[in-house]
Amino acid sequence: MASEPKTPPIETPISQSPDRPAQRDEPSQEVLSAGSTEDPTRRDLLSVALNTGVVLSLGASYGTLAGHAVDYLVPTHSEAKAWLYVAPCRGITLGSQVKYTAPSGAAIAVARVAAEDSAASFIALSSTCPHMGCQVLWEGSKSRFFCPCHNGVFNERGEGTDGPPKGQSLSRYPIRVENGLLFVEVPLTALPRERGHSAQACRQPVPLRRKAAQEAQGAAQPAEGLHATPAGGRSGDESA
Amino acid sequence: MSRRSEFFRERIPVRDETLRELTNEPVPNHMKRWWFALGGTPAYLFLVMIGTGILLASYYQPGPTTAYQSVRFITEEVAFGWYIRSLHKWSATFMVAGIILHQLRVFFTGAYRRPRELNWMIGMGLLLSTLIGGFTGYSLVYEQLSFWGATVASNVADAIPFLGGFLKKTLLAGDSYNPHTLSRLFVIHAALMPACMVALLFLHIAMVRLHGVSELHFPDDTGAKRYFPFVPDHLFSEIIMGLVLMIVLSTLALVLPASMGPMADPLTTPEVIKPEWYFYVAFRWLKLFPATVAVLSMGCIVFLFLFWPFVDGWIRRRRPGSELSVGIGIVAVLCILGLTVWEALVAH
Repeated sequence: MASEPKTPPIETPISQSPDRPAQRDEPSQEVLSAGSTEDPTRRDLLSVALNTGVVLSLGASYGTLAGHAVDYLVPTHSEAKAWLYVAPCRGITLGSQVKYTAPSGAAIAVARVAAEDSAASFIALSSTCPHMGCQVLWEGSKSRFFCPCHNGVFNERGEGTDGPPKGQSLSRYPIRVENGLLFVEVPLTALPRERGHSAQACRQPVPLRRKAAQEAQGAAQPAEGLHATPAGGRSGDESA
Repeated sequence: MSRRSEFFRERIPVRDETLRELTNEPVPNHMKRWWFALGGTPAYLFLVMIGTGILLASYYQPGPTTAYQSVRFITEEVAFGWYIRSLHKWSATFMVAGIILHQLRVFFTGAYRRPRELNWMIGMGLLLSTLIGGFTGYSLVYEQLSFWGATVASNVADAIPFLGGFLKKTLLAGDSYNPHTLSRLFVIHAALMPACMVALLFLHIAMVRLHGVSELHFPDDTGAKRYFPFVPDHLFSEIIMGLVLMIVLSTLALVLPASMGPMADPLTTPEVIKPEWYFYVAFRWLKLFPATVAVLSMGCIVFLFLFWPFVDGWIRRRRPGSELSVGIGIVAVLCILGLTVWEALVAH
């Protein structure tokens, strides 16, 4: 077939069309006259109001959407926690501290800071330094926590007093005292580790209050599975 | 004109002249020297990272119970998995190095000056996006470095006044490292940062095209022609550079393949922990000052470098012909090198 293919004329872009640029570059007389008046006309005011309304509406609607996106990204749920028994109050003497391992595996330093057997007399601090995440040590003779990685120093209330963590604090865990027994609120969930023992522990948050009550009546040993141990032993190192 | 040409001409209404103009920017002669063509290197490496990243993502499973095992599976079980992972890792290292070298060249030749200030800022955006991509990348393996790196980074974010708590919570998807954290880091690494970088790269190249490459003259440039065509001359140079890079990356993948450290242990801080080399300077800085001071001062330094073209313009308006920026640049480079070497040499 030798017939010529019928192709429609090629549409050129507006900027390349010979007659369009003049239309685009030269504003019409109507536009010029509208813009050249000194006092705003009613049409100008309506136009401004309409444009403002459109911009505000778009801002409000997309802003709401962005707000929902932020709500979605910032989690509001908190991790599972429980009040767990640590030790009888009389088991922790003034100036000493015990190291408590929560079911999640978190290491917590519990110290007595006053003589009374009330919650305010104890403090439960995370032993993870807020600076770089190293584990801090309790130095009973100096009444301070010391971070060996970068020489960070925290006072007995966990407030950074020297070194890079100055101004930051060790995280605190809430404390409760009931019938002379000390309880601390700790997270139950644990991240997996290669050795995996913490994951096992967190599966069974033990009904500890019953055990603690039994213990208060009789023996003063920490309940089985609680892992509440004096740091370095009661006879040892950390007591003031 | 063939039917096929006619078919495409009708559907893509771009004239030959326009296409030639778009692809054939005249390139100044000084860019025949490879160290003036370092901008193309990170762009090429970015493409390598996109390719290898897509392949890695087809096996990687974000999550504390699965991440480490899936990376181990990629490295030890999947055919050429070790090679793909090593290419990805070494491309990241070279990309950071390439951007820094490119930025040094731009800084010391004053190529950021008016009217190219905004392109310098876009370049800074690319550098920061690359650093965030690097950090989130090695956080995904869920080895000790990954876990403690993310923990330290979240503490750094937390030290920012007012916004810190919000940033930390958003980064970790919770108050502390939790089962959702790795998904969050994966999204930042594999979706958010690449999208930002594609947008910034487009703007960066568009600005280069709009302003043209800033021209430098050398005594041995005696030829009458001051420019050479982008296609094919410079394109061929870039292709050769890409091939050389692939040889170097493959050699490194063979000799020093991406390894795996011990799995993360949230209860045991390693006695010695170091981030990737490009964070040594920040890591050392954090050891020298309290967290808030360190974070705020680092923010100020980054902010200063982001707006440096305008600061330099202000200096040069007050002292015409001043090359103070060169002196400041040398001091900055020495400080960065000094802190990096210091961090590399000591354990704590």
